Amino acid sequence: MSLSRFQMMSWTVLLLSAFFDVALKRLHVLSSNSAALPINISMDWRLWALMGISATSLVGSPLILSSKTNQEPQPKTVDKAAAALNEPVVDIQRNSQGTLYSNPRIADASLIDMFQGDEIGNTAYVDVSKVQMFYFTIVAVLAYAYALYSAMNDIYPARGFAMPTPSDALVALLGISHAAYLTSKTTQHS
Amino acid sequence: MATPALQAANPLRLPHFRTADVTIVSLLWLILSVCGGIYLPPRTGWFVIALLMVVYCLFLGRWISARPLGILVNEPI
Repeated sequence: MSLSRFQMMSWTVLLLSAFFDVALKRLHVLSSNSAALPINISMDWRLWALMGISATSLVGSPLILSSKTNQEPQPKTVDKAAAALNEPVVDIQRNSQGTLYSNPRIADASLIDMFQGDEIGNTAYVDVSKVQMFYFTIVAVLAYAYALYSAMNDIYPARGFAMPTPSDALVALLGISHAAYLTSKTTQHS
Repeated sequence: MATPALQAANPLRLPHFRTADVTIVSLLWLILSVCGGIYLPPRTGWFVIALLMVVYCLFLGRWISARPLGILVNEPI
């Protein structure tokens, strides 16, 4: 399972559900007021930046990893991974895509995948950049969810509703986390 | 089990859904979301819509990948 998919889905559900809810309520309540702008729901550029950063990771990860599918893993690395994972060497070689470790079946995918290394050489170990991105995502999503919760105190201003603006620090924090995540994928571990 | 990926698609694989299931769940999801958005208080409505979106994602995973968290599973590179 993919961490970049998880964080993309988290942001999508959080922002779209709030937007949908506010839009429906404003349309229902303000539609009789001709001076009101019910679907004038503004989103600051930092919110688009957050979504852009998430989308970049989602698209960038396979792009970076695709270059590793043409490389051959060192036999010593495969032996070490087989010993660490308690799997036959033949199975790892058969399922791998270049130097990338791969599950043989979709049923073998698990939540733990989100924190493991991508390559045969580091699949038996925790990828710290993934753990960091997971924590940053959870903290940022919860913090923004709380800000949205507070902002929903009054969603009926006639001139429009503004989604809360995330701070520059939050955007920078997520940007750095995603940069570290993508950079770590470029490193060779096999 | 990092970089999960699927083996080459099996052309004989049966779909994990029936069109009727997909249609009913999708319509139900849309109707409940709109009703929740209109008739529930703002914060409760938001929570219900978010929950419905998560549930629909679980259905998508179940239909397409035969497991609820299938939406998080990577395609082969």
